[in-house]
Amino acid sequence: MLEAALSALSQLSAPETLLALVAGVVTGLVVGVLPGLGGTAGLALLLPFVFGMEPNTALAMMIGLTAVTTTSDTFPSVLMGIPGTSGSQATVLDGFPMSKRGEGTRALSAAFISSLFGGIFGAFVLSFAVFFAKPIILKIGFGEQFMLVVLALSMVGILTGSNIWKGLGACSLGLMLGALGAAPLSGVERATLGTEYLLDPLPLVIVGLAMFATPEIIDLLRRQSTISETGKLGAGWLQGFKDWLANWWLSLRCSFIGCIIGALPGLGGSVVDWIAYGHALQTTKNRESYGTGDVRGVIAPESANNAKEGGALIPTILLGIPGSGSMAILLGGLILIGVEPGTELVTDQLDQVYLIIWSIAAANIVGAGICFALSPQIAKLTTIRYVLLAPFMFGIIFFAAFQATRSWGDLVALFLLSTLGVYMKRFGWSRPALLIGFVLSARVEKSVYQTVALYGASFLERPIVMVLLVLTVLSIAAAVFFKQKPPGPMSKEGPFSNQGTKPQWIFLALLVGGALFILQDGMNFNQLTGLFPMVASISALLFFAPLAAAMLLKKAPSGVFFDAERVADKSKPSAEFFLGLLAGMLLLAALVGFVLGIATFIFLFLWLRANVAWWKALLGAGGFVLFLGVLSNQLTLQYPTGLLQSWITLPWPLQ
Amino acid sequence: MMKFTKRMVLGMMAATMLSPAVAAAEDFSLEGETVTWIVGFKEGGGTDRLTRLLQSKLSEHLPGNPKVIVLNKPGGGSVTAANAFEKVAPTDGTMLIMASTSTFLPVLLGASVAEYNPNGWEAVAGFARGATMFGITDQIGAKGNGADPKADYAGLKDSSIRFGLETPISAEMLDLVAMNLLDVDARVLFGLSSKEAEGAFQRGETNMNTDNTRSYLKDFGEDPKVVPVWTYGVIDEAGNLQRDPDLPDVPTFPEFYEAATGKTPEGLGYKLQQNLMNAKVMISKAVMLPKGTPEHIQAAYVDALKAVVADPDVAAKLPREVGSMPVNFGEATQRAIELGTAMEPEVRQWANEFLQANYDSSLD
Repeated sequence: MLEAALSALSQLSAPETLLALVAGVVTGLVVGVLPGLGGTAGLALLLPFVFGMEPNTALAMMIGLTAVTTTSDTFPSVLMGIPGTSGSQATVLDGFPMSKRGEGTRALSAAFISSLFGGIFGAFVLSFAVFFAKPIILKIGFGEQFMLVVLALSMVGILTGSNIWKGLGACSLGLMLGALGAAPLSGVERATLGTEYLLDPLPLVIVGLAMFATPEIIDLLRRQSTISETGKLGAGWLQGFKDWLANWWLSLRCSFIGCIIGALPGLGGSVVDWIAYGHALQTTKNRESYGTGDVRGVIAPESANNAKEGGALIPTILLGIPGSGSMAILLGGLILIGVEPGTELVTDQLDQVYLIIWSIAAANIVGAGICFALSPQIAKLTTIRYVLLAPFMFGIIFFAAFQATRSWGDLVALFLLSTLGVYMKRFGWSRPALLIGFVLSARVEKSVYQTVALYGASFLERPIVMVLLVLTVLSIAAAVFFKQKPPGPMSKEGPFSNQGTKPQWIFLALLVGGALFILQDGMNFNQLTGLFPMVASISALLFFAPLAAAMLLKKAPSGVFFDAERVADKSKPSAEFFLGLLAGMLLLAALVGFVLGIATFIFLFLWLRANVAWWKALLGAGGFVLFLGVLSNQLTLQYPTGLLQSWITLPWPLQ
Repeated sequence: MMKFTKRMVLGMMAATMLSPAVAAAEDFSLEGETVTWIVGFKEGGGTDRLTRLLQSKLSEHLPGNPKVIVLNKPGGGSVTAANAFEKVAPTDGTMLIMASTSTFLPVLLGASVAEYNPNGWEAVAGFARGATMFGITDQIGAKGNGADPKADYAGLKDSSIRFGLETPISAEMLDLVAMNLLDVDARVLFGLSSKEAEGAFQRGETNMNTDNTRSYLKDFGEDPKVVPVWTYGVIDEAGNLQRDPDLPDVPTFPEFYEAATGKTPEGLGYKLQQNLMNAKVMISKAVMLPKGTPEHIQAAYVDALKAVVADPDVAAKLPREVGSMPVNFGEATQRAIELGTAMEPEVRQWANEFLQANYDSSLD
């Protein structure tokens, strides 16, 4: 073992291997920063080069890339409120409020230390786990997976926001969104609304952007001139390091959670950050400060999401069964370069396994180092006038959404779901709850059926299931005993007012309509296809009912009511105005194609709204076109075309 | 504007008739062009890997050495990409698609989402990939490997067989029909991707599994506890079913059926099985050009693919992706597609009744 470890270390220290590792890390950092692009896109980017490379070099490059996307994804999450990859959605919750307070550098620094620690922890665990983890992983059957899903779902309890019914209703909405498209058990298309797009389920990245990015961008445009309310950068990166030191025990626990969840089948990587965040809420003091810029809310998910990679590599290497989406493509890459994962890899080519482990550790160090070096500069973005940033942010999130399936449907789905996100924010519906419901929906549907079909109720007798059951009960208890601080002043003028609730009623009525549609659609199908949508929509209706009753009965300001619009500055344009602008941008894109449409939007926005000189606005738009063009070249993308392109062929980068 | 005189038209007609196809093939060049190779799946999957393996050498062997790029367009199990390919693909040899079983199956099953007809496309090369049904020997009461199919059959009938599949209406319907023809009462768990099904099999929660031969050999080839019970074989050029070259001792499904029951398989159910076998095994992957691509361009591509497959670098890696079944080209591929995408009405009705009775599903 030691011999293999040392031999791998010497292989890694060969100049060309190190160089490949650094190249992989840099690519990984770049795709991590760009929302919508993650490890999957990054590996796809490397695949063409990997051919004909020395296996060790290719290995270092691919691992270098996968290990660090969850390090750099913190930049957009913390500074812009846009989740950089789906692994850092929970980071937005506290990271972005910190930036708004002018503490962007501090949040970044705490996040990078946590990422570094989590990443090394993951590599450390992996180095032992390859010898003994196989029997443990093989113990996690359908029953255990089902309980893991239930445990994850119970995290919703602590993230419901100011009203429990709204929170649970939002979670059911997430489950309902997951019920659109082909049924995972039968392949039958349900609730496709007649579109080819919904043959597949909605992509997670789009739901994540719609819930967090768009509502935040619009909110900021309406409220502040810069992201940092003070217009300044507060305490620097030393403070972030101290924060991490003070919370090292939380960071260690969350790294452990990330590693375990990454390694076990059943949950996949995309929910790790939420579980870590929920865990932090459940187990620490002064919980009411979470969500308002508490550094612990950054440390927890960031420790977990880097540790996850080491964990997810365990089943990938040992069983040849990928633990997450990016592991699936890494597995493809490994096979391409002739590395065949499986137990034989550990017994016959241990040095290759250690090369992977050393690469993870080295990549995390290099990656975090680069991010540290860049963060003071990049954090300055939060002091720039936000109207100058916003059009580019819109451009980037639509580009990100387009990466999901590379079709027009992605853009439309982002717009429609963004509208939902904007109103959920306005009326105080928990968006994290929706996201958790959505991420877990297919897992809920599949694991309930598979467990019942195979075991009936007897699965409850399995020991690991019992342990998970106890954890779930504890998690729910933590939510029940969670003392919510009063969400704000209960005044007739404030957002919790019981007057002027018509918009809230309309929104609730629309949600009920949506649930009824899913219910009615589900009734058209057999059990395999229709049961899940029916259960999801009925549970939504069951949670809406007590909410509606409370809204009817309460005669004073209360937590059941919420309308942020009541305290909004009426002199600023409305959220609908900005949604209208986005609709206009899509229409423009339908006419002249995605690239020109977005460029025109950016130009007009900068020129007319931000009052930038026309030539500077033109320069900005041109820069974005160039950015899209370079990416289309590197990633072999074809952007959606418009009417214009059906008549004439435009040269690169204008297609 | 130029006026078309009768003489000019005649001259042009003559010129067209006189220039032989060979000359055109020599003239055909993609120099300076970019060839886009559409893959209807995400990066890293089997179809993508095979495409990238071939892509690495395709440029070298095409006239004019164009740049060849792979464009991943995932969605609907390649249906989205195929629909777009049918509508907009240019016929000048600058666009081709890597079709797979998932592309052909919706056509075979008459799914309304498939707005394309792969029989109209021009086949360049087809890759067959063997498939096998294997199980945990002491749980399924079978020794497998063709030692004693009759005893294996008795063992299967006496055991509680469990295996996992993605959905009933998929290429794996092949296995459902096989179990039905054999009258083996198997419990099937749906909603499992092939990797998840393999996980469940490794945990012993299921005791049989279906996979391509190559994956079986890689994951369990050395494991004496896991044995192949039958394969689906391969169809040779004369149209006869032969044993899987990677598992030569293991009986094909009809052989197993005959040894087990003493009868040769026949009837509508077996016809359905043959259709599905063609779609799943014989056209596991196919390189195709759009409808209406001129013959000399097709010929250039067939030559290029032949050279790519023969390239030592590619030849060394190809078995890793598709096993060692022979690659077919042009007309032969087109014939396999014909067989794998058409179903007689009575067979379809049998399929519907079968799905309805057992899985509360139907093709319509």
